[in-house]
Amino acid sequence: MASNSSASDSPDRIKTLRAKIASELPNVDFVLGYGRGFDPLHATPVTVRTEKDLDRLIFDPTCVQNLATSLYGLRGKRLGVVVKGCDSRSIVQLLQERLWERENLVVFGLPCEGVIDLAKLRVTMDIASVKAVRFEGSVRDGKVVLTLPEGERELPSAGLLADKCLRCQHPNPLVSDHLIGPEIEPQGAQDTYADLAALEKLSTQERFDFWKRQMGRCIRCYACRNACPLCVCKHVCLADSREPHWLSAEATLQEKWLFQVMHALHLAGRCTECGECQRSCPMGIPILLLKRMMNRELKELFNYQAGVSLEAVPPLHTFLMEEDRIKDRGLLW
Amino acid sequence: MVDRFLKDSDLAAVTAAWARDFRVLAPVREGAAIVYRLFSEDMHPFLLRPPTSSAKEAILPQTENLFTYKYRKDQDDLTRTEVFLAEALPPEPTLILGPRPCDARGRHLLDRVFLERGVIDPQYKAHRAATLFVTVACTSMQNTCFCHWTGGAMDDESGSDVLLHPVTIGGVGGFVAHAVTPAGEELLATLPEATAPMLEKLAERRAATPEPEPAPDLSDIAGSFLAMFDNLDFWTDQSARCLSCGVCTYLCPTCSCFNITDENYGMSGRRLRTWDTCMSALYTLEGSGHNPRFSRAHRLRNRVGHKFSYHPREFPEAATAPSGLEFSCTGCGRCIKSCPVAVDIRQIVLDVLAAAAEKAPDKVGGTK
Amino acid sequence: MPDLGRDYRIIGFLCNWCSYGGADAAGVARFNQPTDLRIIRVPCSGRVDPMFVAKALLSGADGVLVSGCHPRDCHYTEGNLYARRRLELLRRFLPIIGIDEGRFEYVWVSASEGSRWRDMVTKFTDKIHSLGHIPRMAETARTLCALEGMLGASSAQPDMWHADASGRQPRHDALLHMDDYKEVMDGE
Repeated sequence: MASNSSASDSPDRIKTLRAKIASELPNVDFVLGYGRGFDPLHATPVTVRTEKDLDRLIFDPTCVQNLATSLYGLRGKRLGVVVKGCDSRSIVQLLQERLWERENLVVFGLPCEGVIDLAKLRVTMDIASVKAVRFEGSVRDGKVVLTLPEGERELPSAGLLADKCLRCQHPNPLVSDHLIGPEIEPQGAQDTYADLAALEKLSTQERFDFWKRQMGRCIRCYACRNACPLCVCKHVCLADSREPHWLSAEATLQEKWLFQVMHALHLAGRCTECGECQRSCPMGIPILLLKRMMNRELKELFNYQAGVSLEAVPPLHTFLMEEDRIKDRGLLW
Repeated sequence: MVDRFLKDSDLAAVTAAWARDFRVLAPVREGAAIVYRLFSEDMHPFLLRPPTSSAKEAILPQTENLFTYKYRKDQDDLTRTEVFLAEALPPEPTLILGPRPCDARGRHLLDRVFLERGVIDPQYKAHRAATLFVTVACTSMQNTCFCHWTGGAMDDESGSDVLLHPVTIGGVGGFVAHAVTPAGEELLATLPEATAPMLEKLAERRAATPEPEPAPDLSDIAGSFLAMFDNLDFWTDQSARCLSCGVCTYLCPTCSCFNITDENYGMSGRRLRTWDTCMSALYTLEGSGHNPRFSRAHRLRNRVGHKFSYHPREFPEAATAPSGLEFSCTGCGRCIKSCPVAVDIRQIVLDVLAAAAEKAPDKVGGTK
Repeated sequence: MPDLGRDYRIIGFLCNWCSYGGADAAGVARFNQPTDLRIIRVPCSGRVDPMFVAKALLSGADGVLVSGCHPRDCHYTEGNLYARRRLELLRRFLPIIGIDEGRFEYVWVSASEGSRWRDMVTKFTDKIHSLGHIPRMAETARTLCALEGMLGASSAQPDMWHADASGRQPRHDALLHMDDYKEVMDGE
């Protein structure tokens, strides 16, 4: 990666990250970071226990996973975790909900220009044939150079960025003990919810049919739930409960659909739109739309955004005697 | 049996003809996924890439209704309750189009579980007998594929009824259709015979297909796994990233675990069999609240162990892999490709071998 | 007044202290009301988990009406104020999944407002009738079965039941009386 001027994967930055982690290793059980996965396009979470694990650490735009997801399952330990700006919002939310103690967490924050969405690459090529990847220039307006069997291919990296990165307002971690690398100006566009608007242009019946088709291919693996940093109920989730019997064991459309509605409802006021649910879905179901709908309405009704402030009171945990933006339903008709 | 030729442009029409006699499941592109859907005339099957899900759903459906029951109070003697049972209807004749050789080989491994030991499973047996596999041979291996580790190959015939070899001749794309079973031959009866140039072209392409990198020597894996069984630190490091979701097991062509649930609605209900996943904590949760596999480390260990140690030890006579073992894995690579956190079962297997060799260099060896 | 013969399923979640009393008052006053509404009494509108509504609608209910005490009037002081936030959010959410916003409504009716209750039910039922039945999913048999169970009806008939009066039907030779069933079990 010789011609690399991008802040995201500069050799200096990874060196600093390794040094900072090395300095904290005596204070933590282990550190969760990113390592190289089975091919150059995939990163995979790795655990750093000793100095000899440090070499495995990487950080570049393939580091898509939100490592905050693993935290709740490891409660009771003292951990270090590597986070991007968006991931740090999950940490804020976990701390706000008292699901983790701040003193047991060492956060290594990495300002991030964006990560790539493999689903976008997958529609243009057989990603399995990619032999090497190089990011040139900044992640936002540079290019991705892919080495394929037939030669190199360049793509503008902006076209491959995850949607959440295009509208990112928090590229710099909101909570961190060690901030590694210079802070970045937020470059994301204001979120106009254009995706929701497109769906809302359809008729009610068309929307119903849209979801019917999407949900139809769900295999109920619950990767969406397990990849969610805030889905902390784990195996006492209502989806698995026999009593009350919310969902049937039968894999019908209705059950799959109801689960997604349940996920969106239970994340109302908590979801930070890290997008892990949608990214994890092996069947490519656009379930983030449901959470975004919830978030848009929360913003409109209560001017609230999850995971940006430790002190904020979640809107569904409180009320106003006279709600400013809720019309009295009883008088409407 | 003579090989036939199926032109790409005839695929939809030929599938439609099959659909008159069979419930046809065909792969279609939906968003970023390729999924099996019930074939309809307006659908063009997509055979270019392996489907996202395995063909398992054709013979081991995600949900299966075992029977329906209904209780009725006897009006003359209220202490007496009658229960009526209605068996599920037998499965319709089914044809699944577009699985890959690794999927088709998965059928044999499911047979081991449901047909070869102890209780013969009537539902599975009926599905198995009613289902034909029209498999598409692979022309290249993806970077997640490792079928040759487990004794498979890009053009392996076992488990298929028909094997379609993609071939392009004179600008016309299509498949040389090779019937593997008599039922498969019947399916192809109306197709024109493949000409000599087509077969030559196919042989040429097959000869020119690069060999995959040689498979590692896995002959020690069953024993090595057991040697590493108690090393929980090893498994904790391997599994710290695992999300405990069901992607790997639900997409796997050989994972056979199921759950049985009675779904009650008032005085009636159904007994259902559904896929289960050993990655879930609920899989081993006991009624007392005790869970013998309480951590992700225990659960990931089970998946690897079942496929590469317990199965070969259970079926030592059925050697299919180059290592002289039969694994409960056909190397389709779906668990790697679709894993949200890129857990690579190949790497875990290699790590097990390396760690076991390091631990006891003299003792590891053989499969006993 | 909608015609009463048509089969619509509307679920009403009514709080014990105000709206259930209001509905009772409407009945005592012998007001004429549509009969499509099936009422489930809950302690407080704050007890209504939005999942109740989602489950009812996705199980095939044509409409859901939640009714509680007026704001400031809650028996538990603030239950309906939490409910208001949750239910308003749900109401705005439902259209994105293809459920018409008119199919779900929440209102406030006190125990003395029998005529207001009558108006609410009539208007809501009219609206549901004008919207028609909720779009069905493919698995209708299962859906109806679940809904019947939810409503406490014991007549749920899964699709494959065609048993005649004797309970025996030749096509399914596995139809067994309890005693036969026991025998089979003992034999194994």
